[in-house]
Amino acid sequence: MTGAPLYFFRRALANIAGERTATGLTLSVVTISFLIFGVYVTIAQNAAHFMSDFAGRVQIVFDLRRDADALAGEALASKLRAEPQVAEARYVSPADALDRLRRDLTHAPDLLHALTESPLPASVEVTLKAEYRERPDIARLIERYAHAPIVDAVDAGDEFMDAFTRVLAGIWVAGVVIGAFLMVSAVFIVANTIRLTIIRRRGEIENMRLVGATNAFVKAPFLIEGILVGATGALAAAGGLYLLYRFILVPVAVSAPVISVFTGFEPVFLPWRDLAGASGSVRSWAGSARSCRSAGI
Amino acid sequence: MIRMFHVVKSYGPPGPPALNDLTCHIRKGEMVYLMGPSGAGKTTFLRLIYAADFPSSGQVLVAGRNVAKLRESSIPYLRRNIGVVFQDFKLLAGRTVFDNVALTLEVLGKSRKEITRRVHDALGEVGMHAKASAHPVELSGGEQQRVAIARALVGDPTVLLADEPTGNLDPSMSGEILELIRRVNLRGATVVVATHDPRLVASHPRRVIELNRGRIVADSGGKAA
Ligand SMILES: Nc1ncnc2c1ncn2[C@@H]1O[C@H](COP(=O)(O)OP(=O)(O)O)[C@@H](O)[C@H]1O
Ligand SMILES: [Mg+2]
Repeated sequence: MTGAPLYFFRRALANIAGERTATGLTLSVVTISFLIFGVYVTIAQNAAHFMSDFAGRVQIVFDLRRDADALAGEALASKLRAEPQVAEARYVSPADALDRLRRDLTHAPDLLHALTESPLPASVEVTLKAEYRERPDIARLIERYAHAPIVDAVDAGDEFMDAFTRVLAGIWVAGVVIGAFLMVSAVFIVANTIRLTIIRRRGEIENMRLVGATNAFVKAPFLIEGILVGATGALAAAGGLYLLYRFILVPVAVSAPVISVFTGFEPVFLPWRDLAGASGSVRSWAGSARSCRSAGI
Repeated sequence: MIRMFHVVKSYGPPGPPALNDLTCHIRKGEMVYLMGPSGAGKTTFLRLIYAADFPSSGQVLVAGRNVAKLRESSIPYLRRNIGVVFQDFKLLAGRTVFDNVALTLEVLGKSRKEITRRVHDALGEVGMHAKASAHPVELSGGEQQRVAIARALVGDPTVLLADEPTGNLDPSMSGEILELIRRVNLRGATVVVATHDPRLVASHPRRVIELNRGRIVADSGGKAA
């Protein structure tokens, strides 16, 4: 390759400065496609995060008979703990249950004030290990313990889980399709924008070839320009995405009833490394390389 | 310096070939007019020399190199020895006069300092030094062609090709442009000027190769090649 890198960098900057409208247009297209992609990644990321958060909280609750005492309850809990599927099993006494209800209903403390004795049954709450949260595992466990003498009723939450799992599976399929589509269109848009730039600069390229420029010499400024515009667009998109996350996603997530049930669920902002870093510049670089090839330079 | 052996150039079956079994020899340091009516094959002749096109058959030799067999990656190095001037100047509208001429040397990877010195020298030679920072649109046709000649000669080419260089200019302007081309020839470059204007040839007689329908119909100075 002939010529100093500094020369190519200067040429790239001169090209950008010389065609502000076109560069601005390219930059907006790049920014918008990255932003759309970033919004998708953030939503997918948070759906996954929410799902694992939710699945971790699903419990099988064995309600105990009124005549079962704490000792029998603790015994059942430790027997359950010994099961390979079980992550945790905890005996909750009627008094503990009432305390918890009081805590949950802080907005109306008077409601429960009058109670001296707990109206709630004792129970054993079981959380399953992550790899055993499928329906058959739950069913097997329930079958083993539902008929134990001290167990009164079982609440597996499995019907809700089933529906929830089905909906999530649907969301994932749609997500993969939409994500792939967005990916392809972002690459397509960037590649075409750069191709248009090259067509606009055809005269310049012809002149360079006429005076004996090598292929690398002709391409280098375009590639640098692509990297600069791509990286700037990716950075701007990341900034915009953060604002959307901070001022829209977080407030909505915190106030949405379905989410606020689970205290402690926090929306995540992860796509930094996917979006702002390598992928932005690499993709637009790949775009420029491909456009150069298809424009025949 | 430039040799053609039985060159045929066809742009496709429907029409007759643009060049048809053409053989000639242009010696080092010569200045030659390529004459003939529109469509005779003059532009094609020149394009084969700077490898903008390749012969369908036959050989084209430039400075001993067989252009027909040149690898794609070697073409730039051939062109660095060849300056080309066109009827429509082909200057970059977005660049100043200085930057248009500098392109030739930028491609060679010359230092900024050397580029500045040589571009100013070249602009001085064609009398355009005062307009170095103007843009092409601010110049007359004759001035633009001077800049194009400066761009061609700044790299010290061994061959200068001019395709109807005065085609867009009035007669007095044409004389000045031809004078500049003649000076490049006096410095040692082999020069080929394609034109269909007999007045140009009359003002500065030199060897004339006359083309018609892709064949050489007359050659005032060619021995058998
Ligand atoms: N790119 C091309 N495709 C098809 N035919 C062409 C092309 N270039 C030139 N020709 C044909 O080749 C012949 C010679 O053209 P050209 O070399 O331009 O002649 P001149 O420069 O003497 O006017 C003409 O008949 C022209 O139509
Ligand atoms: Mg012509």
